[in-house]
Parts: sequence; structure tokens; C-alpha cells
Amino acid sequence: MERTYTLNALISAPKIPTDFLWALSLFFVVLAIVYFVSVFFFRNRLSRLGKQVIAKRKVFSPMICEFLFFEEDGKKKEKINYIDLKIQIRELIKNRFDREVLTAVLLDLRTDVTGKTRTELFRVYQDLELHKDAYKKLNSWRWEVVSKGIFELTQMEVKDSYSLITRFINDKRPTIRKQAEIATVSLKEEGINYFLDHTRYKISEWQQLKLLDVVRNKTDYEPPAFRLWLTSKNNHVVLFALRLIKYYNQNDASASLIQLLRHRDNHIKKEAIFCIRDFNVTDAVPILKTIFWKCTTDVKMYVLEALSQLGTDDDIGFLEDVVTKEVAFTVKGKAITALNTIRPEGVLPTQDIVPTADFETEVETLDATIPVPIETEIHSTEEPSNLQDIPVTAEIVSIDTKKDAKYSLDLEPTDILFLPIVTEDLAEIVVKTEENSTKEKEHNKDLRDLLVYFEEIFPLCGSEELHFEFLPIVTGDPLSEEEATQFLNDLPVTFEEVIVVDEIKTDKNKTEKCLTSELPVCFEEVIVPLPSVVENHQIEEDVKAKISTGYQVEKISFSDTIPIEAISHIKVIYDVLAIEKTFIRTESIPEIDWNSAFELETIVQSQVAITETKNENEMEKELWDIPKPLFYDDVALNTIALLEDISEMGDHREIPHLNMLFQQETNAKLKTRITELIATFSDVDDTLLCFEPTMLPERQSVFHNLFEVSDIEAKIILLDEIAEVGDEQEIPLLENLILSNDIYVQKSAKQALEKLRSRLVPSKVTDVEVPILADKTPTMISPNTDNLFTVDFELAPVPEVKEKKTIPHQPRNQNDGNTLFDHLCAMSTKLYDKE
Amino acid sequence: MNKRTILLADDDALLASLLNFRLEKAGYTVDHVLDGKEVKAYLSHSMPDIIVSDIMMPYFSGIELINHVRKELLSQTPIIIISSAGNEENVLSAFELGANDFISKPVSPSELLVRIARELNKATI
Repeated sequence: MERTYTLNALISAPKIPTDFLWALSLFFVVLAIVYFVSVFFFRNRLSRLGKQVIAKRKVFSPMICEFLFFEEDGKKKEKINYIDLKIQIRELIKNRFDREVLTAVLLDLRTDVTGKTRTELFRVYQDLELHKDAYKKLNSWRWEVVSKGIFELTQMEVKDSYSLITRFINDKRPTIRKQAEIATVSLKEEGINYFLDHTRYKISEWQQLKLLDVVRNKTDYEPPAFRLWLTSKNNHVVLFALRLIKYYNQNDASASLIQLLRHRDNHIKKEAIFCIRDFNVTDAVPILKTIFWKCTTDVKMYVLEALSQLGTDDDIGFLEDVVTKEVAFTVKGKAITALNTIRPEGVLPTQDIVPTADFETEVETLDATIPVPIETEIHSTEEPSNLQDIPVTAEIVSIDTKKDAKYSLDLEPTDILFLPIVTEDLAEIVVKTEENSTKEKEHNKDLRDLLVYFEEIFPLCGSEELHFEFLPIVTGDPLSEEEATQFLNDLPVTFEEVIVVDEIKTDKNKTEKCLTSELPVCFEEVIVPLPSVVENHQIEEDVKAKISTGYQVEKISFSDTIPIEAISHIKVIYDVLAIEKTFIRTESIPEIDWNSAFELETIVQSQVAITETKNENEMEKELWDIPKPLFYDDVALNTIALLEDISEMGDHREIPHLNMLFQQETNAKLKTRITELIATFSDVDDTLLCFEPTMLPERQSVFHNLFEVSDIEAKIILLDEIAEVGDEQEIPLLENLILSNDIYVQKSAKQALEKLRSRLVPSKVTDVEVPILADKTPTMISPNTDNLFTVDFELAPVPEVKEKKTIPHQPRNQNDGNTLFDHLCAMSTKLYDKE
Repeated sequence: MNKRTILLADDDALLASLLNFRLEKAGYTVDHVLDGKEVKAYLSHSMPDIIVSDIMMPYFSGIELINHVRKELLSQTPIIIISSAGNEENVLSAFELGANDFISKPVSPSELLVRIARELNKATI
């Protein structure tokens, strides 16, 4: 038995250090445990982070919505909410994570919304100072962070970041560079100029497309003359400029384009050729021909394409040279195409064309083998003019396929529709088929070789019905004048009835003679509710009488679809017409002198005239029961105007003058008004004291003016600044602000004052006591509020109107010339002096 | 006057909350659903005055929603479709199935409001 294995008896098992193995095993086990633990840890961390982000997004999204859709002219409650929200959100975004989430939310929303909302989004982003984070990112050493920062600033359209971003245009890190290029072009209109001027690196094709997309989507963008960059040292800039020139059709750079045809870079050459072709620069043709022979195949193709468009007969010689000399098949083909474009059918197909002599012999063979009636046979090669002489009859074409014929082919009628003409007495079409493949091929060479029978078919005349709808209608004898009038009278006419009562009353005959009364009339009745004050039975009866006698219409039909029976029961109220009458009667309206129309005398005269007219006409007196207007003299009118001004703008300081007026005034109504005003100004709630910065220190704080023009939020920020950088000059201001009726300002001022004092103690101790009046204000301030932005109180409802009308505690001289009354008097005196 | 009810179907919670806020501010009652299943469940028990739906939703696309409303529920409730740009084929399909209007992303909330008001007016007439 043959042995199929070898004995390794001499080979002993190696000595394995089991301790080492155990240690190794332990090491790998520990490694695996560490790995799994770390996976578990990081996975959990990521998922926890994701959950936190989702939770934060849920918190931020309603806040953002509130910000985005806040309206300045909204309700007071809404404004308070807005300020509260602003403070809350500022507090929230102190945390870096929250800021990042908020930025992400805004960036997400940016892609989803457009229009005014998007603009508002950009404003909110900058208002919350999130762009400062992006600025910080620009200083990072990590390329992805910098790139992200640039992207963020670009997306949120922070135009101020333009100068910061432009320095990255020539960054050696391509991602940052590309991001910076897009940002530069996006942020400012002149960004593309800066980019093309300064870029030193390659601009990839994809980058060019992106930049073009940015430029293209700019609204109201006026592109610069891109020919200015055709001289750039950077070939990529030249290439991009050429593309932009083509895109914006800037065809004012022909010389530069021609020059660029000689450029070493094939891409530039190609792009220049495209521009030349698109702008139809015929001057470039000689240069195109010159450069042709030294170009690559690709460029040659483009040159020939351009020549086919721009070339003339003079260029045919060159193209023929190309056809003969050029080796590349594609270039040759393109040259022939160009030739045929310039001179159509200049070059005919030559490849695999069989000589004519061969076909002649073939035709003879066919004629001999196929039995066809000679008298009807017309060879397709004959001129069609001969066919016109053939007598033609109308016959139905029938195809009889001779299956027993030696060369026959079964054809459907639709298969031979392409055949040109059919002659008379057609009975059959015989098409020769051959089993021998070579002969069949010869027959299929040309359609003209087929033997066919023709029949010319003309449309049948006389037997068909003709359609004359399109023809104009021609009638017989024209109508006579009487008939025409009758015809017109029979036509139903629809109009709106307007009945003038006086006209019916006074000019009856004339009205009866009216032609319209004889016509059948369709009425549109306008039914107006009867006013209760109108009662004129005489006119009503008169009108009814007229209508029942002379003004009776022959036929009444309504213009809409309601039958007359259905509405016959409706009572038509003619009292409305009586109202119309009062206006119609005033036939001679006196011309109004508008210059004097509003003078008192004119008005009084008019009133007297109206009163007289009313006396003459009792009916009108009954109709118009309007209260008699009151007219005041000049002095009284002036007093009324003065009182109205005082009521709008005045305060308690007007009381002495009002008392004086009260004593002087004799008119009872004016006296009542003055009394009302005195009562209003006297009735002031002392609890509604509000802050008035009337006591200004000798050395005014530099912040004072800022406070006057700032909103609440700005004031709070200023107070923080005062606490940090202020000195003793700010203390009076802060003391005044503590008395402010705005709780945020009040609270911040209090804190700022405390901070300022504690800061100033080592240098100088102020002897000004801080009046803590915050507790007296109608708010509920938590004693534990040590944080400025923690809003844990509620605003007490304070009537806004009454806040303005306050009385300062210090007594005032009532005749010091500062009252509104004094100002009004002084103003009128000035005006008088001016005149 | 009763508030008009709008069913807002969009899986993008952020955009949905934004639109929800704007529509509620304009005086409508908005019911927001996140996906097709929720839409179906909602429509099984109530019918809003108008439906504003994203065309791409999980489980049940906007197209299917239109089909469901028009063919199965036989309702003529106005439907406005929100679609992303470059989704013309879907928009055409939506119109063929009976969508009343469409608005493409990015959405202008003011424009959406106008379109909703117009559709509601049409439906009232």
C-alpha cells in the first residue's frame, strides 16, 4: 500500500508561553470592552445631544416665529411680549450650545422661507449677534470651521463680513478659498470685480458654474464689462471672463477675442471661438484659418464649426484643402459639413456609390424578366411633365397581387402609399421579389427602379353636398322705409325707466309724442323703500293718473326672467319720485362763489335764503326735518379752537388761564366746556407718578442724550455699560432712572447704581442717597432676582393715557410763561408780526 | 364668526411651526400633522375647510392624499400643495388628481395666506 503522507515524527511541537497568551487574550478582551464601552458611550452621547437639539429647536422655533412676524404697529400686549421674549432669548443664547442650535434653526428656516420673512430672518440673526460667532470661526485654525463660518455669513447675508471674507480668496486651502470666492461674489455687487482682480488660483469648472449661478440669481444685477479681465495674467480668470462675456452677450470685445484665438491655452481658444461664433465676428475668419493647422483636433472641430457659420465662398478653397490634407476622419467630416453649409450640395456622397453604367445593365435585365402591360408602364425616371398629357379617369384603385407570378410580393394598400402617381386602367402592382439575396439587394438599391402603375385621382364634382355656411347671407329686395320703421318698432328694447314727475306734469303732450312710448318696452323697476318722512299724496295720485291715461305702455316685460304675473302684485312706490322732484325743481342753481362760500356772512345769508325757501314750501319743511345748525361769531370760534387745543395738549398748568377765560366768557356752552377742562386737569391720580427727567445735574452725564433716544433694550445695555465704565456724573441719572415707570429700566438702574457706588467707594464716596422707590411702583418684583435677565415678575396694568398727565411735586409759578397757552399766544403773535 | 380650519400636513416641523404661527395669527385654526398616517387618521373623523400639504411626506405622499380626498372621501375640500422647486412632474400629477393650487419652496408665508384666502373664497362661492 502506497503511503500518501509523510511522517513528521522528528518535528516537535513549539513551546508556547501560555502566560504570554493569557496576557494577550486579556489585552484583547480589555480592548474589546473598551471599544464597546466607548461605542456605547459615544452613541449615547450623540443621541442625547440629538435629543437636546430637538428639544432646543422646539423651544426656539416659536420664539423665532414671534420675532419674524412681530409687527411694530401691533397691540401693546404683543409689544410687551416681544420685549420679554427678546430678553429671554438673549438670556438663552449666552450658552454656546444654544447659540449654535439657534443658528442652525435660522439657517434651516432660511432655505424654507422667502420674501419678507427671509429678510426678517437675516435681521434677527444679526440682531441677536449670532454673526459674531461666525466671525470667531473665521479665526480658527481648522479649515472646516473657517469654511463653515464663511458659509454661515454668506447664507445670512451679513454684508459687513465682506472685508473679512475677501482675505480668504487666495487662501491655500481650497475649500476655504472656494467658499470665500462664493461669499465675495454673493455679498456685494462689486464682489465679482474684486474676485476677478485678486484671485491667483485656478477656478475649477464646477466653481465657475457655481459663481455664474450666484451672479445669475442676483436681483437687479448690472454686470460689469468683463472684457476688462481678458488681459488678466490668470488664465482661469480670462476663461471665466470669456464665459461671462458669452453669457451676458457683451459683444464689444471683438479685437480681444480675435487676439485670444492665438492663446496657448486650448480652453481659452475654444471659448474665444464660441464667442466669435455667437457674436458673428467675421473679422476673425482669416485668423481662424491661420491658426487651424496648429490646433488640436478638438479645436480644429470648433474652428470648422465657426467657419461653417461665418465663412463665405472665399473660404471654400481652404475647406477643400482641409478635406484633402487633413488626416483625422472627424475633422475631414466637419470640413465637408462646413463646405455643404456654405454651399449647399457642394459635396455629394461618394462613398460606396455604384457607377451608373452598372444600373443601366441591371434595368435591362429586369425589363426582360417581368411581364407588364407595355401601354400603361411608366418608368419612374421619366419626367413628371409627361404625365400631365395622360388621359385620366376616376377609377378605384384595386391591387391584385399575383401570387403565381414569378416575381411578386404581397403588399397592403397602405404599404404603397409612398408611390407617386397612378395611371389609368390600373389593375395590379407587381413587385418583383427574388429568393436569391443578391438580386433582391440590387432591387432595393433605388426606389426608382420599381415598376409601378399610376392612376391620378381627382376629387368628384357635383355628386357631393356642398357646405355653404361660410358664405355671407344675401337677401332679396331691401325693405322699404316704412317696413324698416315697423321692423325697428317691433324690436324689443330694454332700458331703465327714469320718470321725472314735473316733466310729466307740465309737458304732457311732448312726452306722449315721444317715439319710445309707442315701442314695446322692457322695464327695469327700481324699488326703493319708502322713507317715513315722505308723504306727497298729491304727486303720487298725479303720477298714477298720468300713467293710467297717457303714459300707459303697451307691453311691459322685465328684463330678467321673472314673469310679469309673478311680480304684478308688487306695489311700485312712486313717492321716491317725489324725492327726485325736489332736486329736479332747482332748475336755475345760482353760481357759487367758492372764494366767499365759507365766510360767515355768506353762510348766514345762505341759511336765511334756505329758511325763506323753506317757508315758501311747506312740503319740504315736512320732508327735511333737520336740526338747525348753530353758528358762532369769530371770537367764540377762536375760543372753541383754543379750548380744543388745550384739551388735546394741555395739562394742569392751563387751569389759571382756563379760570380767567371762564370769568370772561359769556357763552353758556363755552363756559360748560371750560368747566369740563378744569375738572379734567384737576382730576389727577397721585399714585401714577411717572419719571420726568426735569432735574438735570449741572454736569450732565454723557449717557443722558443716549437715554433720550434709546428703546428699553438699549437702555438696559447702556445701564450695564454705566455700571462698568461710569463715574459719579452718572449717579444723578441713575437716581432719576430708578424713578422710571419702566420696571426693566428701574431694576437695571438700581443694580447699576449699586455696582457703580461699590466701584467708586475706594475713590470717592458719594453723599447722594439713593431713593429706593421701586417698591412703591405697581409691580411685583421678586426679592431673589439677582440676575438682570431673569424675568420673574408681571407687569401691572397701568393706564397709558393717564401716565402722560402727571403733576410734579414741586410747586410751580403759574405765570412763568411756559404753559401751552403762552406758547400758543407767542406763536400767534409771531405769525401776526411776520405778516 | 367661526374660524376656518386648516389642515397643515408637513413633515418639516420647523417650517410647519412657522406656517402654523403665521396662519393662526391671521385668524385661522390650524391642525398640524406630521405624516401621511396622521393625515389619514385626521381625515377619518373630520374634514377641514382647506388642506395645505407638502408633496413629499412619509407613508402617504401629497399625491396620495389628493387621491384619497377626491376619490375615496369624495370631498371637494380645497387642497394646496407645497412642493420643492424642480418637482414639476409631481405638481402636474397633483393638478391632474384635483389639487387646487400649489406653492413651491421656499415658501412665502404671506403668499400662502393669500392663496388660502383665495381658495376659501372660491369654495364659499
